[in-house]
Amino acid sequence: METKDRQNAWKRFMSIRGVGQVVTVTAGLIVLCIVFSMLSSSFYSERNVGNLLRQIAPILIIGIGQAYVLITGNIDLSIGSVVGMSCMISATLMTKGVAPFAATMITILICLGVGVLNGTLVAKCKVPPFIATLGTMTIARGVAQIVNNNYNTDAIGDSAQGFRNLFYYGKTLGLYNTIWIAVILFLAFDFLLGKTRTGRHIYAIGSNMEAAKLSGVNSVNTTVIVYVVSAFCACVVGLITCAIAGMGTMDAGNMYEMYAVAAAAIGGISTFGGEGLLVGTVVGASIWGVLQNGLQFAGAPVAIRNIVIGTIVVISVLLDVVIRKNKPRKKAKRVLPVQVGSAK
Amino acid sequence: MKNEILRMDQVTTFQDGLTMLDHFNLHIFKGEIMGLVCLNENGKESLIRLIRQNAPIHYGRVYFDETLVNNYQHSPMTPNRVAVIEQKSRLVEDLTVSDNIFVLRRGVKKFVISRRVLNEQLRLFTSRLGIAVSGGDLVANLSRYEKCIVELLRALMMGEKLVVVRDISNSVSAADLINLHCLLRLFCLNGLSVLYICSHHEEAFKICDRISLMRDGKILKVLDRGEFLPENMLPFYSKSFDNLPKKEPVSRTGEEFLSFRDVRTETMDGMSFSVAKGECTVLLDIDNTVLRDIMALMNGSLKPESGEIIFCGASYTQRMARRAAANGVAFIDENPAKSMIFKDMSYLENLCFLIGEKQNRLPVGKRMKRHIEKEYAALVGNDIYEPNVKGLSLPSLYDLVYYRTVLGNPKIVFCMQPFAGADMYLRRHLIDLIGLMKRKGITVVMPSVNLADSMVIADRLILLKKGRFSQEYDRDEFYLFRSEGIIL
Repeated sequence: METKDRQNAWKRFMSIRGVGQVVTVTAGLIVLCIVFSMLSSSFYSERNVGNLLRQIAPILIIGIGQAYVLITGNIDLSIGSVVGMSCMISATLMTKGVAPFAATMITILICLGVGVLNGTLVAKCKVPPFIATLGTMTIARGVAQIVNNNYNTDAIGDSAQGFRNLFYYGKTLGLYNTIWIAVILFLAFDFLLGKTRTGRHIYAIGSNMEAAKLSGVNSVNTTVIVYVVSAFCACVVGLITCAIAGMGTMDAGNMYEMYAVAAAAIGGISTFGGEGLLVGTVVGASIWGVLQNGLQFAGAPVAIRNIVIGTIVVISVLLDVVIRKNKPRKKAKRVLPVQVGSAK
Repeated sequence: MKNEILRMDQVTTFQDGLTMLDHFNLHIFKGEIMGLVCLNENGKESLIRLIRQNAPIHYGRVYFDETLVNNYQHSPMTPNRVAVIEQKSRLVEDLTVSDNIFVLRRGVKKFVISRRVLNEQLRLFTSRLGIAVSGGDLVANLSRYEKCIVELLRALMMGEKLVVVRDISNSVSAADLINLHCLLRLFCLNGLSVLYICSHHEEAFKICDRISLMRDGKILKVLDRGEFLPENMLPFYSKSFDNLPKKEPVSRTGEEFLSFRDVRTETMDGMSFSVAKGECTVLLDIDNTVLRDIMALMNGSLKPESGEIIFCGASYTQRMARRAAANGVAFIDENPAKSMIFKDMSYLENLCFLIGEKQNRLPVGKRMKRHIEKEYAALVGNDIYEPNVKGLSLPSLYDLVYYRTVLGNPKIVFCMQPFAGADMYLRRHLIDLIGLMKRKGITVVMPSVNLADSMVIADRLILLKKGRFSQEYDRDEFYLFRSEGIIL
């Protein structure tokens, strides 16, 4: 009896949309960890695990942003450039003597502006998301370049040591702050997506825009919200990048939009919209990080690493397409759950 | 005194210079199921739009829930408390039933959503109605019938006063339609009113309290329940249906032209039936579960888990099915005017498409085109010279699809629900087109969930139930099937 209950609970758990893919990629992650630990004994060393988690954190954060956008059936190509813009603006302000807190706030506000612009272009002006964010990607990169007259900034100085500790070097409860930032953002955005009305609206827009509109969902506002979340995540990663280097670099965040799509897609976020769990992005980002780290330990050249990771991304998306195509259909024998009681 | 939910008085609307509604009158009372049998499609879409939203009208008045909401002097564009249930579901597939009912609606103030609370709310809400629905199920996993129920529950939850049910028998199986009718009655007892729009009076007779007949956006007659007799409908139908093609006897050779032998797929449970050469067979799927699989098996997009399909005396493998056109198998989809027309091609290019595909030679040679143009000009008139098919009428588009199929010289044609969504005149036209195929010796199979006018043209009816063969009726036994009360 107890075994049967347990089986039913497992069935119920697996029937939640997206859980199957998360379980599959988690199994893949475990296999990867075992393989790399067999290839190199130092893979599991305390130092490497700490570094690995710190490597994963930025990918996870931008992955969360991209996941939000993908669930609505859109895409955000401007993430990488916003990372660069955030890094350059914050560093430039700090080198000009602005207090780190104020510099951080100003940077966040400017980045959120990019999010609002993206959302408005896509939802209100009906510009295809690929084109709209391609445009803002170039604009944001341009801003990153122009903000310090086409030069990387100088070191942000000793006054910003607190800033650097907060975003990268400091530790809280034995864990690097970068990891804590990623965890807090994940929990907050997972709650927003899974437990709130806004989260349901985000899924609804990605699943059936027309039905969502007819149900009173404000599609413009919801789309703007997801792009703002994406821009915010990119901004935080930009600040982390600035803290790591201790200066602003114009090409910071280059190709990050691709990393973000990869983390989300590997984690089972559907590129067609309406489907996916944020916890999948954690696993997706972890697979990305473990592959980078493990292949490096195994002595694989960068080219091989890129080929392996690219292949995994394509396979993940292919898996999504195959799963959608082979969705279980209704059996003729299925008992209808509806019983009419007092019908005349 | 009865509470009036909708009253449209002398409403007249125009669109692109055409009269959509012509002095249109309609009264619906609280708790009533009002039928609207549309003899043609003109005005149907405009009417639904106008009931949902108070858009400008040229003449007349509209009262909703005993309040004047729209008149020829002022149209506020406000929405009315109306839900529309039609072939395409308006639910969000990737969310659960309870999300769709409780969260996706205007005016929800609660920010944090608890799935447990929602499911409990749904249980309380539905138990009051005597219905059992699982709130945690994803809408994507529900059948069309179950989705209809969720849409009804949602309408009730959102406080809608009127539900417009439009041509629902095209997507819900015959067995489910009977349940749905019971449910509509139940919801009416709970204060909802229903406008039941369909193209066939026999369907409306089963459920409605009153019926209005509409043609060209004008109400021709209103029938009360006591007047629900086929004789009362005859004056409106006879002109079109009194010259039906004479049914010629089918000489069944006993030879199996197409047969399914114990075929199993995810939805088929040992399906076995056979179709003889030259006959017109209706495959009526009572549960609406296997029709798509039958089409998929025949066009090669699905492979049977077990069993065999025999076509022309040989095994019809998936490889053969993938080259269905070359093997003499053709398909006409449901609503082909939407799904089977190449809108950027000319009429002639559309017409020649199958020949080119069959001969693996696109585009078709000029000489052949000229020859076809000459031959078909006599049949379709000036349509053949149309460079752009977008402006053609619906019957012309159907002509194009059916003639194209005939031109491809197939041995067998699968017409998926040919009468679905067609008005009376188009149904009559389709009977002629299918008759043409029969006269050419083409075997016709019509997978359907609803009979509509299939019986007029069919030689045999095969009943499919729970994913397998259930019963078959020859033409002279059709009356037996009618007496079972399943026919719509």
